Amino acid sequence: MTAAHAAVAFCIAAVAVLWVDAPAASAHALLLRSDPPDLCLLPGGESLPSDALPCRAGAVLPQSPSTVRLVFSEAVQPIGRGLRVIGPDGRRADQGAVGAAGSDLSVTVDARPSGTYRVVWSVVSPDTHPELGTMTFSVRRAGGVILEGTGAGGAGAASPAGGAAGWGTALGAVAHALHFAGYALGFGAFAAVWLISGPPPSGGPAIPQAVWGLTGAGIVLLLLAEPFSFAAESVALGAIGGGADPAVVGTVLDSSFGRVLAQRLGAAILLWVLAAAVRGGAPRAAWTVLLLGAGLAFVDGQAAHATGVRPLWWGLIVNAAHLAAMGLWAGMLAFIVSSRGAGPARPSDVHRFVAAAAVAAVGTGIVMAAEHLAALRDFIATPYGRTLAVKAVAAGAVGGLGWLAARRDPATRLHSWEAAAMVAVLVLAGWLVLLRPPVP
Amino acid sequence: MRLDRLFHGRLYYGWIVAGVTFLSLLAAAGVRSMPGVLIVPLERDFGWTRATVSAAVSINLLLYGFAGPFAAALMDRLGVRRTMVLALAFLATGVGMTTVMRASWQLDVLWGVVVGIGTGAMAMTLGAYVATRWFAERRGLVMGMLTASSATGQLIFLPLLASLVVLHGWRAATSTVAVVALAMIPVVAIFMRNDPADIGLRPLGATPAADADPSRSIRPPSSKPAAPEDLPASVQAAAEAERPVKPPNPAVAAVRALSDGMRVRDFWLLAGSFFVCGASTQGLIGTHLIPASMEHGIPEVTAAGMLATIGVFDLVGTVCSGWLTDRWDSRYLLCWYYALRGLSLLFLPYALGTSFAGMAAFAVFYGLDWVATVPPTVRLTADIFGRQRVGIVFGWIFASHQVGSAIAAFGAGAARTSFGTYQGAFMAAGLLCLIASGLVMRISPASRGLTPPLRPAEAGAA
Repeated sequence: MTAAHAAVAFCIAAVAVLWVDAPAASAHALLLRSDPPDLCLLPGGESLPSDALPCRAGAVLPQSPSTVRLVFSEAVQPIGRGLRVIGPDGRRADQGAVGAAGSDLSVTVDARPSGTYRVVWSVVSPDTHPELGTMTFSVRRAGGVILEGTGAGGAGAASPAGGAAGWGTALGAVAHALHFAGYALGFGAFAAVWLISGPPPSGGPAIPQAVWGLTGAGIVLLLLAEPFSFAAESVALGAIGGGADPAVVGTVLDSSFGRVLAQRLGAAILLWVLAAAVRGGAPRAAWTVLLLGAGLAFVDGQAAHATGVRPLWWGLIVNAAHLAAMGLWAGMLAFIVSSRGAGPARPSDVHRFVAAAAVAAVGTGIVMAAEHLAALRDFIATPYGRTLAVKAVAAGAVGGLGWLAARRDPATRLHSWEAAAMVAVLVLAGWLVLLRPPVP
Repeated sequence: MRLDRLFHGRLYYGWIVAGVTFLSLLAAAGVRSMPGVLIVPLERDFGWTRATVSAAVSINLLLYGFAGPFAAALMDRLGVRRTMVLALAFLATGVGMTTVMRASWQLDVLWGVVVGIGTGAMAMTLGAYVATRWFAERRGLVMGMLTASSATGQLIFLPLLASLVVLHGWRAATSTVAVVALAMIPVVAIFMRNDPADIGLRPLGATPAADADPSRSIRPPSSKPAAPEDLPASVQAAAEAERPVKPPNPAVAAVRALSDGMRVRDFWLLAGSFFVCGASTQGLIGTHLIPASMEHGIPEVTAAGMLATIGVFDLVGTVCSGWLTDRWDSRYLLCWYYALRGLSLLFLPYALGTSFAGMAAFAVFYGLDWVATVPPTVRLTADIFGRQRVGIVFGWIFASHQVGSAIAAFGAGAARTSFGTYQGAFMAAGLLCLIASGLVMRISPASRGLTPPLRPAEAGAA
């Protein structure tokens, strides 16, 4: 049981880490400063309430500015036009092309009319999350339609990632949940069964027939998740709603989000190819499926909060390990449920395997919680913390039900409840990716 | 004056013929390489969109492919020499007249139709025709030479053309190419001969029995020539006995081969995967890599140099692939090639964003893969359809390759115009390559290349 001892030691170390104040830089782009200055913007990216006077009229400039410039904390990709300026008469004041140089966005403006102007921006951060925001400034005096407007859309800086529209968040959560479920069924089930059976003996394949059905379902879910993900990103950026503007779609594809989308779709198709190859006549190539699964776990890290952790490689490794452990745990569970309780090996081996996967998942989860939570009270105080707490409880339920099922025979009903709890964990995990952690 | 008599006894005249064919194919390849360097200058000069220019390139690629099965018919009717002269005249006219064009429909006609037909007649079909007529032994070597001139010539002229465009304008580049094509016409007229029999020779290495079948089918590039002694006695006897007076109408034969092929599932898998091959090589990278690189700040001549690097490595890759095809299951080879190609396309946006190193790595990697898919595909075609029909059937599979490249060339241009970025096109092509990788695995196991070739009916039933 040395593996279990190591896992327990790891968990204790992880809890200790929770109390260490580890500074973490953000890979999520926040507005640092602007020209004209945004009086509404507080250090740290937050903003004053939208009905506070500095937010409504903004800085009052004695002379018309010639350009508007925004500086972000990370290199950003403008979406669509990226930067728009609306004048006090309700008409567009920005002219010419938007200049995007790394973390700087700028555009020339014709700000001769006096009154309050509103600047609207939409960009994608390196962590693939969309960033929308507005700010106001006034020329010579406050006034005009912007000031009189009831502040539709608010005058604050970025809302929680992906939360510009309720639809965007819901679609995004569905997309991530589908992706995690697809990962577990597609890669997890295969890898779990292959690992527990050991390398195939020369001659017969060691992969039971039931696994291929799960792999096929996993591939379908992985592919299905991406259109949802794309829709979520576009809705969050306001692209769809006023008609699908091809230019906006193009810039979304061109961003880090588009690249991750392509890699995820590629991984799903490649799984289809490899599964056919392994099944068709190359059982020894099964390790390629595991390699692909590990690769996809790393790719997912690019779009997760792991990008905010320093050093970056550590954050990505922990995130990938967490995802892989979840995949193995859920995958083995799916196999047991689909084959009605009959595991791929001796029950004691299966239980040990599931226990190891569960401990690995929980351990890496604790490390990640330590990285993203500032203190224990964040579990109750912040939305991210609360969701994480519920997810932990659900994961505990999965573990508890599994422990009970190990003592019961037959245990099919317990396994079904276990699977249901696991589905809840995956959905909560999908939701969690969208929320802003206290330590980004 | 009989030039061939000068060489008689000293050098087999077939080598001269092969050399002239080599040069003509090189000139045609130079013409085919032009669109990549012309896209941005044409846009700037005439104010056309990327989609407009890509449409002309697309027509060109389409005609280039479909001319293949029918080019053989023309060569049978008119003779190889006259066909080549005609084709070169087409090329010179089409390319030359682009210097005076004004509207985009003129680009479609000149570049799309005229140059498309001209290059179509000077494609791999010509190389296979010449190699088969003049050589019984060393045929593989000659075929390899001529394929190399066609495929590689497309790419190694690019830096020269790009610097011509940059220094003297695009009209200087097109005029140069037109003059070169024009200069080849007298060379072909003087040195080319249709058949060794015309000058009283036999194909190199041929014995009298091999003369039996004048309408011998075109051999694929990678297979070794079947020495007449290898043919079973029954076939030899049948060939001698048959001795057709007039070959069956090649155009009809071409269409019949297509309809036969379409009934076999493996034909669709091969044609489909080759469609993706064309889309990802000529259609996307061959046409659009230079404009895409320029958009990321890479100068035109450097980008042309990268395509040239692809051309150089494609020679290495094709030779290795031919060697591998003899040893390994062609399906697994194709699966690897398409999967690697798809992955490198998915990572191309990263390479474009980084420094020179990423692009160089992409060029080397992609170059090795460029024509490498041809030997295994030809091998599978031969296994499924038999050696006698592989020429015509592969001609149609190659037409599918060109349809793919035509659609990709236009599609990427249209996508670039509407979306403002190439990312969607690279993504789609990369995913298509991965899908092709899965498709080739579904070709029937009988085509491992180790079993005797099946006739189409048997292959369809298997």
